Amino acid sequence: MIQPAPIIGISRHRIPTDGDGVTTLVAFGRCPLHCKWCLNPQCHRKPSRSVTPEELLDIVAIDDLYFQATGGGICFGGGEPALRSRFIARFRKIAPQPWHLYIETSLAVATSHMRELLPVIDHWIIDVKDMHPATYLGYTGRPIDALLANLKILADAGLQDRCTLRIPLIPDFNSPQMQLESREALAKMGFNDFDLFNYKIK
Amino acid sequence: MKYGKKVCTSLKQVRKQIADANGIPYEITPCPHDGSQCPGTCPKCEQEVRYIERELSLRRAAGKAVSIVGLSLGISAAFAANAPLASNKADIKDSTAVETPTHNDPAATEENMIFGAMEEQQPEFPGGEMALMKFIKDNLRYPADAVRDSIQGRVTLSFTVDTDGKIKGIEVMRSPDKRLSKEAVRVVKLMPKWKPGRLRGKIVRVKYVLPITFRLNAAPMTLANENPSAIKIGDLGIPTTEEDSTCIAKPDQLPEFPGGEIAMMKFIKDNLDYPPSAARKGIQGRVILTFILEKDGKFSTIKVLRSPDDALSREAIRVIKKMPKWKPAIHEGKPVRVKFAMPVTFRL
Repeated sequence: MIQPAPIIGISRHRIPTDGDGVTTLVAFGRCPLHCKWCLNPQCHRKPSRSVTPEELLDIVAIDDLYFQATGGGICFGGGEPALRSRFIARFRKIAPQPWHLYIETSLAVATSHMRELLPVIDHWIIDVKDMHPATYLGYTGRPIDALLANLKILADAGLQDRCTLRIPLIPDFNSPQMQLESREALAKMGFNDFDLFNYKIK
Repeated sequence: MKYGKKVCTSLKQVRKQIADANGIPYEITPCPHDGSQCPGTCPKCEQEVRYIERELSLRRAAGKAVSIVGLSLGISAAFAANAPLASNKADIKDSTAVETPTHNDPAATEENMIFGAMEEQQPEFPGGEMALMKFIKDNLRYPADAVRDSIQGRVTLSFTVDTDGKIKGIEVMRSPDKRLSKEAVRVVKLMPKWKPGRLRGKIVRVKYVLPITFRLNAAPMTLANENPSAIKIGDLGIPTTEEDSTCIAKPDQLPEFPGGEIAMMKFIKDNLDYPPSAARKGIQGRVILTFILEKDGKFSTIKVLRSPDDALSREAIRVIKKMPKWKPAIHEGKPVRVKFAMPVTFRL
């Protein structure tokens, strides 16, 4: 039986930034990174709610009609959703087949999680941050090794077409030139779908 | 056009496409909201979805083919035609600087925030989630006739936590049985005021979805009955024998696993190993054990009342025998022997 997972939020009717079709974003608590401009720093605080995969299904099934009609489904984010690989694998088993599953992840997790996730994720939205190791360490507080290892797993499995790599321009940490260099490094691994954008700090 | 209005318009079109494809009468009516407070759905829109779902169920029940999957695949393009999107796959350019690089969320309000997320503070039961679980556990009474009919499962309720913390508009979203729904609603109505939700610091009404599970995998359970004194252990269909005559049928205080019911469920979950022979054959189900809990909190006379498979029975007994001493039943101030039944569920 899968343990309940902490969640910090569930947001319905997202079109279509997280993938094609109407999606519901399920944001898990906890993340191994500590990025300076983290969008959801509340993921490091103790969440007030945990759900099992079955309970989550009950909650999000309210939009089943939209998911099936539009080719949408659930986008797992957070926090770091890849930490919940067994939860997501279980969710795939019990959710209606036509639902798609997307993940918005930093990939900064142990490679063992990829074994569970590879067969069940339809599209990966990968928050690369920056491919220069020193910059990555400075911004996230963690070494880049896990990200590189997991990118290699996706590349070796030939799943580049199922990945969108997001490369932000991070104030105080990188530059447009460094964004291009990150993109170049990823293109060499066979990735071809990039989203370069700016962080806007409030 | 405001973001919420664009989402609403797109979702209306999806509903229309589904309705038209299945011969369901449905006309798009103008929406009164201007989109500044609407996140893309509202009670009226939700009702329309429920209506279409009901009509589709009726068609399925009548043996008609129903068409849904992939009907509205063009929603992304249609939405983009109304709203520029941040993501750009081919070009390297400064995309629209967005405050939320991965979440193009507007100021969402209650209808599409099931709870929490992104500058939201979800409503909270006083004392938090553990207190909520304890409240449900302490107040939920398993309908006796549902126990007898072996009805179990999850009732999913939705309700609104208003700005004063009061619970309003309780609805049953999904339920395996009306008896369970009625009891789940009764318990939610008993709840005290919640701490209300907040959006960017401001108190708001928030819709909350709460699953309540009825599981026959824990005992002793409090049974709901209009005539409580009439409920005896024997009523659960357990054959009584001579040895049972020394057991108290209705003690003042029921015995308890150390740490309570939740700890017991965790113990069973942590220690139960699904017998490979049963798993291979796809055998699952409930083993009903009966046993006597002695005055010192130890088990004796464990028997199998009903079971789908011997291997499951053996495993259930093994786990029960492994349990630590219970807090014994108390009657008239003294520990007493009690006999009761406990189901142990095996689910693949």
